[in-house]
Amino acid sequence: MGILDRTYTWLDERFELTPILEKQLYSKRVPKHALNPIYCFGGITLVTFVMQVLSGILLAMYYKPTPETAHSSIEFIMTEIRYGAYMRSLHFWGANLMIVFIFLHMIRVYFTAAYKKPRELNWVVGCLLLAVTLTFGFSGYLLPWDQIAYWATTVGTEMAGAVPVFGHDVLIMLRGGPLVSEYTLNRFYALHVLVLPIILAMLLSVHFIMIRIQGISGEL
Amino acid sequence: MATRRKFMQYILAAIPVLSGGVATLAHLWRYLWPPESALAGPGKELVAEVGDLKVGEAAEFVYFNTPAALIHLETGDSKENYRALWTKCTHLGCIVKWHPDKKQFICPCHIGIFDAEGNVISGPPPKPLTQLNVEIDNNKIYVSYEF
Repeated sequence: MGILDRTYTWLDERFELTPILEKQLYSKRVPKHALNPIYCFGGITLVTFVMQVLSGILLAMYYKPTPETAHSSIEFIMTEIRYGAYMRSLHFWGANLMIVFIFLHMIRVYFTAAYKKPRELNWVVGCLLLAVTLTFGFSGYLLPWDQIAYWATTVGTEMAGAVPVFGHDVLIMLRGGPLVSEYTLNRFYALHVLVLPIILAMLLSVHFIMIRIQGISGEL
Repeated sequence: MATRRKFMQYILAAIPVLSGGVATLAHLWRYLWPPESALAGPGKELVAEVGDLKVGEAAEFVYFNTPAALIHLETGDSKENYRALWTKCTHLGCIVKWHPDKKQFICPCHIGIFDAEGNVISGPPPKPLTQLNVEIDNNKIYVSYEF
């Protein structure tokens, strides 16, 4: 018995892995109608998310979220860090691709009527995932702290400010003050790297658990 | 069927749960709400001196990253005779210009018209211009704004 077999046997004796693997992996066959590549869009979205997490962690090692240092730290990443420009490009294009694939996935789900009973809740969770992903994009857009970032955030938060009654409070809360400032940058950074990833990971888990329980939708 | 007793039990259980939740959220909101120092404007700013402006004239300046104007509206040199306003049009953000002959601000982009107090007279602007506080101290004219 090789080392891999012995390791597996050691784990299996203690955690009874075989029945779990049987149930979760070997007995779940992909139905024939779902072999069409359009059924891959959801999985590709997950791949882009994993790419965002990995490249994002690497970028966070060098990025400095203050008005004085944010832009220069990105220039540093782009010009001096080995693979730095590659990582930032990956993060930039990955963000765009993630949203593209979310929409392709939604179109597939819509036109194969996969959102219907009993999968209504999974559609709702999917919409929340879309909202969280767009918030990711909005918060990440400020971080380079250049003219586009600053004014996009000014306009974006002003849209929130246009909401009747409590719009102004929301605007102050988003900006951390009356203007887009250092507080806004810190807020958006904390959202982008701490709050949103946790929310997205939790929603993704719910999304996948529901697929596991309900199985993929049937043929058209 | 919910009995009266069950109903009362649910209500009694819900009171601490809901009030605890609301209290937590309220404190979270207070934590995240910007402190006074972050909400304060840039404070008093010197923009002109008494005598710089003839009656009807306006001086343009930038206050808190936003274009603004000081108008000497009526004869007299007390703060009631002056007006200060942010001159960013509330429609789409063009800079409105003071027309001394008409005593109006007119936006060149879509002909939004405001009076000297900032009220909308005509055109597309949805809201009045924001007035700044004017103070005169020792013949120096200051503006300020509290958010």
